[in-house]
Amino acid sequence: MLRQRFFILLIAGIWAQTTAAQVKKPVAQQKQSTKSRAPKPTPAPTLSTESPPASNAVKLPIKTNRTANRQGIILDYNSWFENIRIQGGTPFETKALLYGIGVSYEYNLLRLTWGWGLGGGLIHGYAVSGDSSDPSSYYAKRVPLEIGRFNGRIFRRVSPRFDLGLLTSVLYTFTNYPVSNGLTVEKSGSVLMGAFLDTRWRLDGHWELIQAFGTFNRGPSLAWRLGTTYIF
Amino acid sequence: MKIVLTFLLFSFGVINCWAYPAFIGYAYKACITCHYNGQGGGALNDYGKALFAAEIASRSLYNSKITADELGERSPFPGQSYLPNWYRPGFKFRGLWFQVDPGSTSSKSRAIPMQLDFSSALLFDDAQKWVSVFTFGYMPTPKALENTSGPIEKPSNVISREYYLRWNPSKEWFAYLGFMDKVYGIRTNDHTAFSRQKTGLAMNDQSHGAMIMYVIPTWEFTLNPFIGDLMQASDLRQKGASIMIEKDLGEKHRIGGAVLASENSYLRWTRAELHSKLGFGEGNSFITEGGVIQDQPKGDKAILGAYAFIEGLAQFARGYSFMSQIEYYNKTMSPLSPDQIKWSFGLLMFPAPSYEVRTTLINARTQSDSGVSADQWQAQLQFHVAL
Repeated sequence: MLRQRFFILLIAGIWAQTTAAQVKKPVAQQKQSTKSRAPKPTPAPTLSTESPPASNAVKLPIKTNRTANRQGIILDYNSWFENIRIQGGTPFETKALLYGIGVSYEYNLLRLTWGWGLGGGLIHGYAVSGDSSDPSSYYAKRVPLEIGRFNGRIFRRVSPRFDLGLLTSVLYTFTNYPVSNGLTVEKSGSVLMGAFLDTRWRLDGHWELIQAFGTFNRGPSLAWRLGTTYIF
Repeated sequence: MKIVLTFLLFSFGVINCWAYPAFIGYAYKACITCHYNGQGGGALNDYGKALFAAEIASRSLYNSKITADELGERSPFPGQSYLPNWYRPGFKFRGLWFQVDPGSTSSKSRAIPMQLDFSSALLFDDAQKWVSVFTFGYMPTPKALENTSGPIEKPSNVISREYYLRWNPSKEWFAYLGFMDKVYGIRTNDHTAFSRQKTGLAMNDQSHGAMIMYVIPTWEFTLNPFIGDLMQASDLRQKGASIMIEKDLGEKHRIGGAVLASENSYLRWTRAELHSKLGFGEGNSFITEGGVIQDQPKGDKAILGAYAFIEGLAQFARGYSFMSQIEYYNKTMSPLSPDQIKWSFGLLMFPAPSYEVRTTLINARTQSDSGVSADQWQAQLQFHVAL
């Protein structure tokens, strides 16, 4: 249900953000552009007159060799795997899937073509491990997960609307796996470190979408981060 | 080989393309601007072809002195000038190479010619009040049926995905009669997306029926009663109707919603969705759709599922964009069934008019209370040619 709520929230959020962004445009401009984009079933009009108006490019408060800062609050969905070691019989290693929703603060320093940022926050979520169909093995579901997170990133401003960069993440996890079939999970350390390819898609001056993927040091597969930033 | 080379050389100087919902990033909100079919998909009209060449595809292979209008003028089908004015041919090829679990010992790869379509549009009058469109093409045999023999009948490799008659009696009204995609949600060209696959509206799920569109400057209303695919057995045909309404909120923003209800002898379908098409900056876009899917076997309880679809394009040079697609699906909207999440990330490239190349890495994850299952990976390379 956590995931479903997140996706519903995300889509609703994008709607709300973009609607608000469009409402801010001058009414006259909207009327003009709507008129110019009316359906034209008759083909091959002169393109120069039919092309859409110039884009509403983002005005950056930056000049060459100068910097600007940007702060934001991030709401994101995170999902990753972690190897855990099971004790109680012959020790073995298995995978746990962890997922959760995070809230964090981020401070970015921007230059004309690149920037860097630091941030931190909390993630609340759940973990599942093992297989319910195997009664002799370890299995746990909906194990509560509380995480403190610190992020650092460096990025290139590929376009006024798109940043591509590298994000490093340090997670301090608080998880208490239960005993299952007489088996327990060995504490293997609470700190996770990860590296992500980080993309930011800026919708307007206040909202951006985050998509990042990478891996953690105990993560045998891809870690996802999907979220939205409110910039202030 | 010579034939292929000749074809590629022949097609290089001509232009066409695809018109995707994501082109709202260029402020093109309405499908009918570029397609004969007012809800998109299928053959492009002359304006759509010209627009793609003049404004969207990379022009790095062209002399910078060539103007956008000149590029647009080169857009018709090769040899169009020798054909009568009332005839517009078209051609589309989409090939896919993919590798499952790349890098692993169980990795497998395959190439599929997904689409090889020829289309003809007949324009019965200069104002195009009456237009007829036909397509026919090749459909590969599904892999599961490739090596079968005996009573299981393989589907034909020849398929028509649309044929219809369009009537445009006034500026606001369009009426279609024939075989078309059902009207519902965003027609993303990824026919494996949950929003198309799980709703039963994928690549070969067209239906016979009618479509009526009422288009005014900031609103679009579409009604689509349908009677199923008449080539199917009658008890399998889904008969019903859909309605879709879209509203422009700004120069590059359109929202909408659709409802579809239909049934055959065994199953009742109900689908409802809300969507948003948003352009931002130049050539960047976000397409979002979220909806519910209810399947009810006759005499049994209904199953209500949900899906979400987000597609982003971020242009970094003309004709070249980063692309991502995030999808979610749960069959029962409850912990009883797994959450399926798919993330695709890659590049969408229009290196020259007529050509599209996509490279995508897809990661599919299943999140379930019943246990942990391994991720699925797929690397894809797609090559499209359209004339």
